[in-house]
Amino acid sequence: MSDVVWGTLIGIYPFLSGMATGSLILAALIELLEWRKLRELTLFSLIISWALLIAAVTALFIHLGIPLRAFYIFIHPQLSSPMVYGVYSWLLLFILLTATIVIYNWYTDRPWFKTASRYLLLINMVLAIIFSSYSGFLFGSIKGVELWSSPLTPISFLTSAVLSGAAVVTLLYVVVWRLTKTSIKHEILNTLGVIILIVLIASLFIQVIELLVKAKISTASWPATYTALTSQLAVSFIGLQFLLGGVVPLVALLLGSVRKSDIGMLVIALLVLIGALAYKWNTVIGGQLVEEALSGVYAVTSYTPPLTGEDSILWAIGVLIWGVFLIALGLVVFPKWRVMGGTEGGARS
Amino acid sequence: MSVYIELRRQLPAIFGRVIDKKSEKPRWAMVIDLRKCIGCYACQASCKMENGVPYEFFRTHVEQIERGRYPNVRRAFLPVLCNHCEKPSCVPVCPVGATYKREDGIVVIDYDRCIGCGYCIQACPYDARYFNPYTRTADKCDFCLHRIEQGLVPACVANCRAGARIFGDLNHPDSPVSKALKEEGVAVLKPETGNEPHVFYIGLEQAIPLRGERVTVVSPKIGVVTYE
Repeated sequence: MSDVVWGTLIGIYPFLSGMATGSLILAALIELLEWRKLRELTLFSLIISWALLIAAVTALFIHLGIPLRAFYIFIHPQLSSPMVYGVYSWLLLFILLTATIVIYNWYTDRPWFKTASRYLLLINMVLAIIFSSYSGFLFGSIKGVELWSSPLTPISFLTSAVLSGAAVVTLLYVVVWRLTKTSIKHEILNTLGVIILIVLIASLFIQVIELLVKAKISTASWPATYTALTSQLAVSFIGLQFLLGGVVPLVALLLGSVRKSDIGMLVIALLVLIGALAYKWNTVIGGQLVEEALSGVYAVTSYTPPLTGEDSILWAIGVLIWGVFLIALGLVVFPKWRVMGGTEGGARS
Repeated sequence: MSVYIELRRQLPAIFGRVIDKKSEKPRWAMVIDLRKCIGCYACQASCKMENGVPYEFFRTHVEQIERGRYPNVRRAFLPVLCNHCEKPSCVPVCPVGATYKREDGIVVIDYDRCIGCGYCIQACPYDARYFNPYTRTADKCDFCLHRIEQGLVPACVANCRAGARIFGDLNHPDSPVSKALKEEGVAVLKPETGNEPHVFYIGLEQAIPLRGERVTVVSPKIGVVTYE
């Protein structure tokens, strides 16, 4: 019998929150480090972050046994629970991010804009780091689940978040700019490609190190965990997380010509996102596939996400569509993203 | 007639159905004597009936462990339940304080407050909790609190055919659990967690396989697993 309590929706939650915090960190770095080449993407990235933050919390909300009691976290918070800090940091991040987007959209001509926006972005970035690390901490602090219990989990989640944030911005940059018939700058694509390449190397390095350490320590539950990753989850672990979502984009990004191609970067961003989703899925679900009898014997169970009903693939697709809708809504409500970075009106092709 | 009345009064105590010797401030605990457990599953069944536990879930269950190779084979039964730990992992992770430890040591769930996030289920190193699809909340053993409040022992203890389960107040020196702890060598499951469980086992070593030993475990949690 499978005992997967955190199923499909929690499987996609860290993926969505990772993309949200990652795109926010990217926007903050663009402004704070004055990456002029990418300034066109600041508000665009902030809007993506804003939309995906809502989508991420929607997945959590739907997953609750009794969603209407979610507000109890505000009226009966237990401060020893990491989940409380996660919810509070999300709320603070959401409020500050909305304020930042409003300032970027309507108040760029005010004398206080530059100072205010920089401070806001700095605070936003710190909160985004805390929020994305929190997901890792939530899993990493649980005793007895081999795949989760590691001090490296929060760092690994943070790196993966930055990677998926850069990838989703790249993907949507190509798609949205094409849809709006605006010329895509190869310089921007190349810079994004270099950022993805560096973070991808760091992310893969941390993931591999984490697994090697676990294999070397080889606790009693490691053989069962290894079996889960290489049998039940073999396709998503070896195929999607490491090969398709890791090695393939890594090799492709080393080629300069690919980094300057619209379609090339679109495919690479998509592959990186698939890899990030597979990583989160394998961690969340894989950890729960190892069952322990109290006599000290471990067994590997299987999990097939239900197609319909609660915590199903249909709900997960619904949440992803909700995220896309919110991005579109954000781009319509905050139209200034089209004229940022001195490209007033966009260079029409 | 008076003999009948006296028997009615005494019988539950004779058969261990009422709580014997309780202090002013009790600390409830259980001792399970694995040397006596015959694997009849009466505890598992009575718990389900007493507490309305859904079909595929358990508040207490019995693992069957077969160790060794023919002709040197030994079979043991390991009843498991919530350990009502002194330092429970499930309590501090609850975001709304719906699960808490009472003064008498019983870890309970406030079903009117639980939001059903499942964090406590993941945090319990003894896998003692489950998500109840009917109440939409976490659920687990509460030592049959409703029975304790009436002076009765938990259903699994009352229905144990072999008298392997002993329940009582650790703070009373003459209670059955205190006596068992004094007289017998006891052990707890997973002491390395630091949770300080309050379900103690006598003869636990017979249920824990040695490294490299052939073992078959039958458990409702993991099914049938054989390690060669």
